[in-house]
Amino acid sequence: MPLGPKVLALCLIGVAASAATTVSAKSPPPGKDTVLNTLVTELTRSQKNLQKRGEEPLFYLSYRLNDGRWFQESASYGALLEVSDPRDPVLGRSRQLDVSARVGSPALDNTHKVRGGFDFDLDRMFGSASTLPIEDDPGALQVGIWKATDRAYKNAVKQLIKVKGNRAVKVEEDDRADDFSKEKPHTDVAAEVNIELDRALWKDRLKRLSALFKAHPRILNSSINLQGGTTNQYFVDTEGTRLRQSHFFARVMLWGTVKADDGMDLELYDDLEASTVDALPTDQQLTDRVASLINRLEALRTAPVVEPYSGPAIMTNRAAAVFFHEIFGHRVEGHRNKDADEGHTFTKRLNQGVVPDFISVTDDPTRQRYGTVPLNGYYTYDDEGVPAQKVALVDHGVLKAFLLGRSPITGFPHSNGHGRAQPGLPPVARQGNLLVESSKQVPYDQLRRELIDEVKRQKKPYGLVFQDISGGFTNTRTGGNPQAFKILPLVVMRVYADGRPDELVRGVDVVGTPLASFERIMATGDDFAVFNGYCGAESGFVPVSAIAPSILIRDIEVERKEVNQDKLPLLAAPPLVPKRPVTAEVSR
Amino acid sequence: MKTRFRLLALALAASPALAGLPNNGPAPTTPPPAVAPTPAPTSPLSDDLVFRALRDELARAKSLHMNRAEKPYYLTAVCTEEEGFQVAASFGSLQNRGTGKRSVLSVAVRVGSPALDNTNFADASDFSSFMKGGGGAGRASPAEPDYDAFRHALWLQFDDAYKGAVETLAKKRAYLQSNQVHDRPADFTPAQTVSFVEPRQALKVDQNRWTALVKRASAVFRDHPLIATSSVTFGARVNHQTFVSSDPAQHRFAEPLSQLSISAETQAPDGMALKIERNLMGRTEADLPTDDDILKLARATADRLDAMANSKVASEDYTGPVLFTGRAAALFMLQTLGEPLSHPRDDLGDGRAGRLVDRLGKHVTARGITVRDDPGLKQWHDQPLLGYYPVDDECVKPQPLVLVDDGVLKTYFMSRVPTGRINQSNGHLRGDSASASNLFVESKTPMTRAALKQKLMDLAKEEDLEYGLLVDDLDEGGAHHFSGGGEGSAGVSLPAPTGVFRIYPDGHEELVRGIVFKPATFRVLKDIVGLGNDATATNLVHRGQHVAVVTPSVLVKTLEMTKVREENERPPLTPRPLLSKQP
Repeated sequence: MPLGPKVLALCLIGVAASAATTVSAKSPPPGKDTVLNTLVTELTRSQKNLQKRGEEPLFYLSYRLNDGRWFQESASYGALLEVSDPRDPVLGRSRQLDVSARVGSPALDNTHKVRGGFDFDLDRMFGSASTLPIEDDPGALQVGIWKATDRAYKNAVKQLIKVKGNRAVKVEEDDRADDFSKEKPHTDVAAEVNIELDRALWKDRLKRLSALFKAHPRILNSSINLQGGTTNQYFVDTEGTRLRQSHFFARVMLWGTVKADDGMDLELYDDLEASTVDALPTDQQLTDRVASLINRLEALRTAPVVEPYSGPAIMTNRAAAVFFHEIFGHRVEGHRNKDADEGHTFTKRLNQGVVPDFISVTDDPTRQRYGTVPLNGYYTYDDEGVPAQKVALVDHGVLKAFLLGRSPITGFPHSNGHGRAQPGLPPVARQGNLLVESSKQVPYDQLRRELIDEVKRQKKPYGLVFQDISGGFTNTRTGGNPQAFKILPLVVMRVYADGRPDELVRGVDVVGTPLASFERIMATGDDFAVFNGYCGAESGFVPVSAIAPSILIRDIEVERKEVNQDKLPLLAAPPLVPKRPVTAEVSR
Repeated sequence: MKTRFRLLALALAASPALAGLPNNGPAPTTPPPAVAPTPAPTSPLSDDLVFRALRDELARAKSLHMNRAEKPYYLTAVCTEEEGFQVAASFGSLQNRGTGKRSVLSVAVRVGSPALDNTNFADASDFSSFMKGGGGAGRASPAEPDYDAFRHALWLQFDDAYKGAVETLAKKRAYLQSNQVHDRPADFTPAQTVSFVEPRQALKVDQNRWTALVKRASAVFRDHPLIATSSVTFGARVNHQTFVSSDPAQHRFAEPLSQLSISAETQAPDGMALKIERNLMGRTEADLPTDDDILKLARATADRLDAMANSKVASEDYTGPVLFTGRAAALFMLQTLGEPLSHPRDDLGDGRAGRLVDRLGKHVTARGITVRDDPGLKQWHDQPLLGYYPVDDECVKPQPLVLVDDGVLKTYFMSRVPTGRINQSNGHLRGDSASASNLFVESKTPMTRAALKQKLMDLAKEEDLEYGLLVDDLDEGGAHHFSGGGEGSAGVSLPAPTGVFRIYPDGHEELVRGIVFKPATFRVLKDIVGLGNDATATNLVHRGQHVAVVTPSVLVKTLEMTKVREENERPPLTPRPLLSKQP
């Protein structure tokens, strides 16, 4: 359920005390919200006009308006970097409207996938949000909404003609499900929130933290970036749904690069997410994270290069969470099972085993926290106005369901509240909070002993432990590339069978196929941890979480990544704050 | 080599007639102001942390070397600081508002010798330079000056630039060994450089006045139900460019800019997309018109767009006389003369034929026409000329030029990169290329507007035409990048006209739409058969730099125009919501 005004008032007190943010909240009561009322007025007017237009009448229209107040600031080497956002470079306030217009019928409409050839839809590639005025003037808002509606309707008519033509020349599709599911309308107008980060405090903090890199001249590039604010999202449609939801978010990103002596470029990132005010990192936490990043970069620069290897490995908890998100989660996104260009890894495996039987997987966007950790993938309604739902994807190894938006697939006629998108892009099925559960848990120390036992059994000199991996893009599509999952290992250790100390290696690339790696999971730890992050896919970046214990995999294959041939910088780094050596370089 | 960033990437031009500014006689010849005395190297002005960071890191970069490669022989480092305010409104409601600050660092390195270095070479096989951007561009620069952060960034930029320069020079030498190249001029020439350092200027702008004004001006469009989108934007900024070279030379001066832009779009009843844009530009807000005049301009803009939507569509092609007035005349002269005389040196491996600059010493325009360029002028009558600069981007003091004297081409815009014909800089390098600053077009025999119109109709009659065409505005957005290498170089492409009138013998005028220019040749300059006595100054953006064009109306004997193909999107299916006059 959305936060009520009372809960919010409590938040205010907590926040004021922390001095990290300033908070204000105004909540126009439902019925007095100019934005909501104007959206409904123009929706009604457009519906009336367009549902009786000639050959392709409108049967569905929705408006999704993202009203964001946010700010973004970066610092490097003790100085603030430029902030650049083409929409609003300065104030950080923007209103973006997405219009979804559907013509034809729910069984076959303009969103139907056009097969083969090159379906060049710029709006789908680059987004199509319209920018609306940031003041609450009904007239100016209405003109903006009207213009966007006209464009969306015309595009829909054009697209439906293409769809019908395409259908006439192609064989029948494997999945003959409708294009649009029937859902119940909802009305839920939550309190409007406006939480602002203390900009001066954060600017100062970013400058100070970024200056910590100054003492490490071998870290060639580094930056600290903060994005944060609130968004109030409105959703109205011609089925009667009327929603207003509010979210707070903040994200601190750390980044640094080093160049090894052989020219190999190495980079590390760290991310801290806060979906509630109380989850904002403290100064000390950030300082520790920067120090840790610096240490790991310095260690990585001089670490030995990995050799091609195939053998047992542990993915530690957060790395395992990313691993599941990438290689499992993306493949149970329902719309991929309708798209002929997709790999259909799991399409025909419903009710069959896809992972070892001691593993179960759910996706539950309704869950706000795991333990005390706020989850990034929490939401109440998805971007198609459907309430978020918990979905049991895998039960004891057996695939039971897919994640779905309002694009149904055979056997699953309804959305389960997973249609998500960033402003400007049409929603598709996406993950929320992915939770990996295990009935074969052992303490981490024992998992590590099992790794060493397996190394010995396979007669390998060492095993690998992936301590940190970054969410790389998963290629789920057929075509040029094989269906390899792509994860980017950042920190990988060798664990020797003979008891030598662990050794950091650099330049690790993972090769392999997704299904094979699932089947080879031998056991899990009991050390569940949360990965909070942003996931990028065809409907843009959305906040997600993944929770998993460490996993032991019987066999994983790695190779050495490509090396950049550029030399190290020719001159040493400039000395820090010299005694003003002003050289006379002025001509007469 | 380096880029000046502009905070406000709008199309810019002053429209004095509409703004109620004076609009009279030919340009007075004011001598350019003297260059200020060079401050001593340790004066506070040239000793701030920006100068120090640039100088200190440039001094270190002189010692860059690698294996058997030469050291750099010429280096520059530039910091462009930008501070600005912008506010925009649409239909009476704010779209955005705020202030911003940033700085951008860039460096350039020449390796080899002035006779042969790493520049003036187009390596057709090399796509990596597109990806990388030269000189380490693309690395984030600190928003506000910080000595350590600047030096760190410059260190890595010089490193990238030097490695890139060594690689390019090797490729260029290989190219010269495998290709016969005759009479290749040197790559760089010595020049008398000056140092010029001005105190910093603060950004001064009445934010509340402009916020209220853009809202009021944009609300004018509420009452025009045909107009689908519109916005009024005001921006003010001050840029400071700090430059240091190994000559050694240095400069810093402020470039203030204030601009107001009104734009609107609609579709005619037949679906043709129409847009209109009006820009006012000055140095400070005091250079812009009063509130009342700005509101008048907004109303005139809305009325003109309505008139365009209701005007006739050109039903036939046209070959005949065209009279350019106001902003259209300025864009016409910039496109046919200012642009072709810019960036005269071709890159090795990318030579162009049939260029206007190759006709040095020959008749290029009709006799009686003189074209000058004067970067030293800040004002013309009461109007600001934004092409002014005190020293160019190589620290060379700019010279006033007579480009065309009584129809004969005398010189063109030069940097320190020589051509086969001219070996000296005339101080016109700004940004990436030598180009126009304040361009003046003058006639020995100016004509009144009435006489020009009469001549237009006489010429039309000779061609058996029922009417002649008058063009008062061109789409500036379409004016850029028509030049460049390859086959198009011998021609002139004119941007699409956005204000075309048929002038009939009985004197009545009729607005038409849907007609554009066909590509022309430089012959069009010789076809100029009349210049008016109605010179106006128009500020524009050319090759990324501010320029001013002071020109009277221009009558051209023959231009070919063609009607546009009519395949338009349907007009809106639902009528625009009706709005009250004020929010």
